[in-house]
Amino acid sequence: MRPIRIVIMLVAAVAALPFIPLAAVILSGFFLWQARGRERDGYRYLWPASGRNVRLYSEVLFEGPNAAEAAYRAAQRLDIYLSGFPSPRKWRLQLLLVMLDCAPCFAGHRPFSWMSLERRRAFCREHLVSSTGVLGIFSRSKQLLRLGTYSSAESQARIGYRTFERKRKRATTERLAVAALAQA
Amino acid sequence: MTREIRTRFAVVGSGAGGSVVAYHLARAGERVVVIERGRRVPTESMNADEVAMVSALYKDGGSQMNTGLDMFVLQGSCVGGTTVLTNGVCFRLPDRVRRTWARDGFELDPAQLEESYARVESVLNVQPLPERLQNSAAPRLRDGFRALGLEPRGFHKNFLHCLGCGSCNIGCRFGRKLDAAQTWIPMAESHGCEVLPDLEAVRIEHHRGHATAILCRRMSNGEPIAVRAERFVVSGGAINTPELLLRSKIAPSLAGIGTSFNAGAIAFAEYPEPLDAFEGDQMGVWYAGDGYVIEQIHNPPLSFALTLPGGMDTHRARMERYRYLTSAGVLVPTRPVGRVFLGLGHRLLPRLFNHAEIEFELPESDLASLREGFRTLARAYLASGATQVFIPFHEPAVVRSESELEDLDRRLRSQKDIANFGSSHPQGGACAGSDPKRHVCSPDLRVRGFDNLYVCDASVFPSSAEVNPQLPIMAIADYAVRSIGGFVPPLRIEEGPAHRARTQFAASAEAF
Repeated sequence: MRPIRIVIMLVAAVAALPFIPLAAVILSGFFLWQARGRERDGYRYLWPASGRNVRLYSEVLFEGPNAAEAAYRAAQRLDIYLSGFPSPRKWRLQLLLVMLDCAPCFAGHRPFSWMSLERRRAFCREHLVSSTGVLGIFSRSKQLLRLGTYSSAESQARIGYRTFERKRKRATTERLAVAALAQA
Repeated sequence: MTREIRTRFAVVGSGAGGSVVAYHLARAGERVVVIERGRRVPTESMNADEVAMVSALYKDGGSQMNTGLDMFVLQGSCVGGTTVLTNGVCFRLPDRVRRTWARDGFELDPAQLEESYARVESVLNVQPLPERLQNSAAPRLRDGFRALGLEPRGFHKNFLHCLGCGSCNIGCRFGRKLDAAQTWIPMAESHGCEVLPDLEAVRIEHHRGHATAILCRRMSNGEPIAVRAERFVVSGGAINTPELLLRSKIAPSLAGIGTSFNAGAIAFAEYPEPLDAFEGDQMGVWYAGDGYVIEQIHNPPLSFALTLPGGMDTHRARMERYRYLTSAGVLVPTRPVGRVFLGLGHRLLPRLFNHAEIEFELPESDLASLREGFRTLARAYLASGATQVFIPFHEPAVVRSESELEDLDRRLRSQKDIANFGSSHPQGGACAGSDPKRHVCSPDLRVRGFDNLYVCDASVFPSSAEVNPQLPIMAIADYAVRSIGGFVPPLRIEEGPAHRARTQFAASAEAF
């Protein structure tokens, strides 16, 4: 590392010193507030802020009269997923979901939670397809939202998917009906 | 206070490599302890819920990525390792690759390797997949290839009475896939081997070229445990093995270097009529081109949605046509240019960055193979009656005629252009060979400079195996028992579910 860089880092560290206690107080308050909200919302891993952002984005993914209900279920499914495995990488996903609210700010818009549904939809259509830059990172969160969306039995049934168990049950019913007919 | 466990052999990892070694050692009467980071997920607790199963069975819930955040690296994290998540595909190591490795000093005697294959294949019941189990998209793609004058082939798989439920990648809830958790692990346990799930190997303690203990941490409560043994076998896979060596400051300048993958992406095709390709086995046919392999695969909805390209509305509209869609992966055996390392974050904030970083950028020659693979696949799909093919690029690439394929070179310039680029076959990173300046392990898989530490998994591969590596890893583990255990494995293995099924069949045939 170049000496000038070391000097800059040292100066920055000294300048930041007075703010550390303040930051510690603010962060502790934030964590306490989130922990309380988590119990209220019934999440095991998601924070209320990340859960809310997932719901807001999922509402855009879904369309139709039940969008809010479907978005709520998507957040629950994502929470099941995130709480199911231990990983040193998981906090980054949580951070990404919390920061989703600020994603529009990087494109000169107000935060996501301040937008109407129509504005949110327009923003996602325009910006959440990027694969590069800061918005590209937010764009990758689509995968997490899809994970919440397409894992539910309702969405799977809607696109025409039949589980093997359902297919087998139907085949057994048909076989029994044929056998009954043959007997008759 | 650190609890201590004493044994003769300690094996890290219960996947394709570790399970085979543990079985042979336990069968020979040795005291063996297997350390596994993941949990034990019995067949009875598996189900069709993709999100719950991905979360329970995959390392980091399937979210492991490279440093550039443009490549997924999927691995298992459960008793049985990645073998629990495979599609049961079994390929032998191509002879061409074996000869290349031999030139690097990693020589495998063909006759002994053949014996190992025979043993492993008999335990896994490796058989051609019957056509009646194939999904409906497989014969369509086969016809497409044939229309181009190319001859695709069917897979050999390690199934026993497969039902064709189409959910291999989230564990077989019917217990019909003979993965390590169904075969080697219970077989080893029946000979007294102790498997310790939920236990992460943190560091290897060593002194003057002699490993003394593996320091572990219980994943659920952080309890420290030290496993002391006379010999150690590291079989954590091509990411975790180099990571453990680096944490332990073993071969710090070589471990993690030379990582390769069978990497690629999934392209999709839409047909005018519903295919319902989710009914039947996920993978039906494959075709080997020049420098690439095309493997037909149809995923259940969640994995399908995660790999399907498209923005918001396009993606939703395509998912609505799920019944009409199908997919196939183009895989490229990459050059060993990847690297596994402990990043700056790990040194400064180890609690937050307690994992290895993976660095990988697809070289131009491999990109050219990938382009060619996509071209061939799109042609085959169009020839089979598909109305459009979706190539998985961030910039939308919908191919409706052959003339539109010319544009692929412009659209695919780096792996960043691919929407679902990834690999579930990481290899290398603790390569075996004769050059002490390049290879972590000697040809007998012993870590250089150590008298009792071995590596036995895909990380010893000096270059990509070019095929799905499950069977080669198991066969090489079986082969390596001679050096690790100091004995020759028995000619035949007469136990396990496949052997029981064969015995029962023979008895009933005789009675008949």
